[in-house]
Amino acid sequence: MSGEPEPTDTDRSPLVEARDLTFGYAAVPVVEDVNLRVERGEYVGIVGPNGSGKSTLLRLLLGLHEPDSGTAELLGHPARAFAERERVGYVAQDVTEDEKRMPITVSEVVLMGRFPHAGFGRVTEDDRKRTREALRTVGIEHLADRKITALSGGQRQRTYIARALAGEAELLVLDEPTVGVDAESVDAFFELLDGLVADGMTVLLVEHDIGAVIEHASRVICLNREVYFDGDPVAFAESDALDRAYGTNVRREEGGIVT
Amino acid sequence: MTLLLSLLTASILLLSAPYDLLARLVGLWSDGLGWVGEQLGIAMLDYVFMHHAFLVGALIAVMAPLIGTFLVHRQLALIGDALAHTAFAGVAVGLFVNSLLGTGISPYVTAIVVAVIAALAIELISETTDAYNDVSMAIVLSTGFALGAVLISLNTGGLAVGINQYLFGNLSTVSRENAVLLVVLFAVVALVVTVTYKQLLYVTFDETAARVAGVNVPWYNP
Repeated sequence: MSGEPEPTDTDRSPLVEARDLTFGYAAVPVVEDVNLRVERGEYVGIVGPNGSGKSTLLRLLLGLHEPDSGTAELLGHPARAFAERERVGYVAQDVTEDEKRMPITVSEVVLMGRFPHAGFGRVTEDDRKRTREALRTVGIEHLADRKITALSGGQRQRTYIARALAGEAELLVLDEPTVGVDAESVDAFFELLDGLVADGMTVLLVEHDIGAVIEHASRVICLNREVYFDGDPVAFAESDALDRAYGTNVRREEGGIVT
Repeated sequence: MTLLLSLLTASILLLSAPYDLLARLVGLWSDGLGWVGEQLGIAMLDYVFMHHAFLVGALIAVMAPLIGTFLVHRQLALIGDALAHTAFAGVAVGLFVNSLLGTGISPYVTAIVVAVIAALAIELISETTDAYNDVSMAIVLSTGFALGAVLISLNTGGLAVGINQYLFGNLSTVSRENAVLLVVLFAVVALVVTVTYKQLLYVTFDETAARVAGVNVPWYNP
């Protein structure tokens, strides 16, 4: 399908919705009473100190954990139902680097984005065409036949973005995608995200670099077990939410915030 | 998980219905190889046991890497060892049941059943305890081997004589029945891997992303 689909009820409903979401791995909740709505086209950055439950919140929204109480909905379906998942692209912290040494090429990884569409059927020429297009969009077409393990951190993250694009994802969920990526590639990475958002992508990003989130995102959520702030990046920079969420170890400096 | 169960039921179904047909097929292979031997003057191809050995060897050569590549990349390489040892328990169970009830179940069939149960147990243990697969493999391996040893020694009456043959086997003693069993297993494995190749690849490469993408991951574990 190309072009904008006809708006239906599902299209107008929020892509992500959490109501009174509470979850803990043990007795102590890691995420408590989180209420959250992400509308189509938003660029949401989630920030918070280490261990504040950012990644856990993402995993809850993706249906990877069963909430202790409250509900999490993705694309209008309960997150645990895993319905219409070809519309969601997920980019995790790069864990494949040292854990796995699979001899697999970049284009094969990107092609995986087409697998939910193909089901048990064969991979078609159309799937391969979309794979090439996705590689071109993120600017690593020339790396298509390289082994994924031979890429730099930044290039590898682009590969995973391309995988989401190849799957025609409408919602991109990123969990600290810039960990282990050099500064220059991080800038290019955020530029790539900006471009995708401009083209209508919805982005939900967990990121430790608060400065980058304030600079790029259209909405900031500050989390430390509970939501401390939810709104405009400019308002967030001026508010005291950061101090409250992080404690007092935060200095404000010109041109950014350093923790 | 359920993948293995369906695999098992499919092989049992396949085995029960067209056994004669498959046996005839293996016979045809035998005749063909015998003919080739005659034409080329290769003496070893005169023997039926060599025909079976070639067939079984070739099938395993294709089947083992089909599964093995996925296992190695999922760091389950030792599962082969664990399952082989629990298959010993399966043989013991088969022999025990046969001598107890006087039935004639092939110990190979019980070995497959017990090995499948062991594979499920390995996955179940590592799922529920969140431990490495190595841990659950070690548990299942030692449990299976101990169970087998107990059942074998419970069975007095010359059973221990045959146990080596089941445990280590010998390619040249493969009977026609066993060759048929392997042909069936080969067909099922090849079919399942072909159909679910993309899902297996996705889960092997990136389990979390596969779950997010809606692949029913527990279905493909182990």
